[in-house]
Amino acid sequence: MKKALLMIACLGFGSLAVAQVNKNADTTAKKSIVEKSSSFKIFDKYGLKVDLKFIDPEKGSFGIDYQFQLDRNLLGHDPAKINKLNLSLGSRGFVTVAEDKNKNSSLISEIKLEGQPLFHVKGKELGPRTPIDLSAEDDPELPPGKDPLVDEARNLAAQVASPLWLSFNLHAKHETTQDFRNSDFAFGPQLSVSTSYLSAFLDFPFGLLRAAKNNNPRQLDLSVGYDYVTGANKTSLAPLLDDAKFMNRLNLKAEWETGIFSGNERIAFLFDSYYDLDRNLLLKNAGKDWNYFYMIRIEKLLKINLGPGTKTKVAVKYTAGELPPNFDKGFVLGGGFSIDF
Amino acid sequence: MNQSELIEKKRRFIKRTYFGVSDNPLDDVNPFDAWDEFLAAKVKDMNWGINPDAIKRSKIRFAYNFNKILDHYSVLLGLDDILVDLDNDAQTNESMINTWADKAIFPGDKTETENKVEEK
Repeated sequence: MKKALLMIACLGFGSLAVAQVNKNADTTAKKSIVEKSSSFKIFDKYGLKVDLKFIDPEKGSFGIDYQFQLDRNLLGHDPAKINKLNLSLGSRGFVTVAEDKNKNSSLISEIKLEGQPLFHVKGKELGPRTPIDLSAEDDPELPPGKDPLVDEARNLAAQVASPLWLSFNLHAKHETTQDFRNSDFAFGPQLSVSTSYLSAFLDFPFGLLRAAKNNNPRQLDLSVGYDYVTGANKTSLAPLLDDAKFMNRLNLKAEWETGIFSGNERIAFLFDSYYDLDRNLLLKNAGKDWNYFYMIRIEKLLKINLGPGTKTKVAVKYTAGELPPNFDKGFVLGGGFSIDF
Repeated sequence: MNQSELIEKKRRFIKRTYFGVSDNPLDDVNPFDAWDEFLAAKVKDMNWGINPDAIKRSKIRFAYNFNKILDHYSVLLGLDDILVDLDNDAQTNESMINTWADKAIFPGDKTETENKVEEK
């Protein structure tokens, strides 16, 4: 029997959503809205995720949060080698029925040619092989925390893990608002680094708040990209560009997460910024030369037994900043309790 | 050891190594600390990342480590075989473990070539 995918986000115990949006790029006036919201996962298969979000239940406003990605391997079919050349097609965004309710009107569709990974620093060699003996007795009742093989695999993984990975892509992006009145195209290369070199430094304050041993950081993901933007005169930035159609943009992204407190709490950070390389004075004076978007999420996995295949968690998420093509300011604070069937 | 016991032993081995490698202290993507939660969770419930590109890179790093560690125990499971199943986000960890245990070649397993020679 096919399992239906359904996420119920109940904001019954203290959820809050605050949104603030700057409609015009050349003004600093902001509009604040306090609202309740909830979401339902309506599809999550074949690389496509679709969430239905109610953003103003009293007025019946809702929207669709979507994300999809398809990858095709072009080169690197050798199963023994990790290096691949892939063609990737994807899109992500948030579309609302009532257009004025959209705090982050940014739909980005992208095609990429990516070397994933391009290079990695080799971890330690593990020494002579120690073939497993399947006939050996072991205790199936041992929890993971006391299982010697789990502990051994954990330690071996720390030794063999590469501390630095490099990936590269060439991309073309179509960035538009949901009404398609404002849009541009961006082309360029991007270099990405995943590393554990900075983990000890970044994790230091969180390590002080952590009791559990098996709730450690994930590798830091950093990306630097260049975007040659065409069609910038069709965005709300046009009055600041002296009739120029083009922009040269630097894109910096970072993502990292680690464990806090006991074994089931995680904190995650996402940062995405766009910097104007032309150092246009009008953009600078309007505060639009360096635009950034960030997210902080704290999540707790709850141990509530609601049957097999269910996962319960509570999360608080704060997102703020500006997204292309218009880079309108907005922020959302949301929290919720969710059950995954 | 009969066939069903052998299959069970293989699954247990893959389950324990998958748990340990995903709980790597330098690149931890495993939020679970009990077997039942871990097995019932879907692949997407692991902490692979937020951005789709970061998720992809995280899965590649895990596949690389897992492949190396299985090889250390003389268990062969190709990188592509690992990644194909990791891409199926909707399946449970238990289902993926069973698939990997079926695909992997353990010490003492006859290879496809050896089976063909025996059939002749």
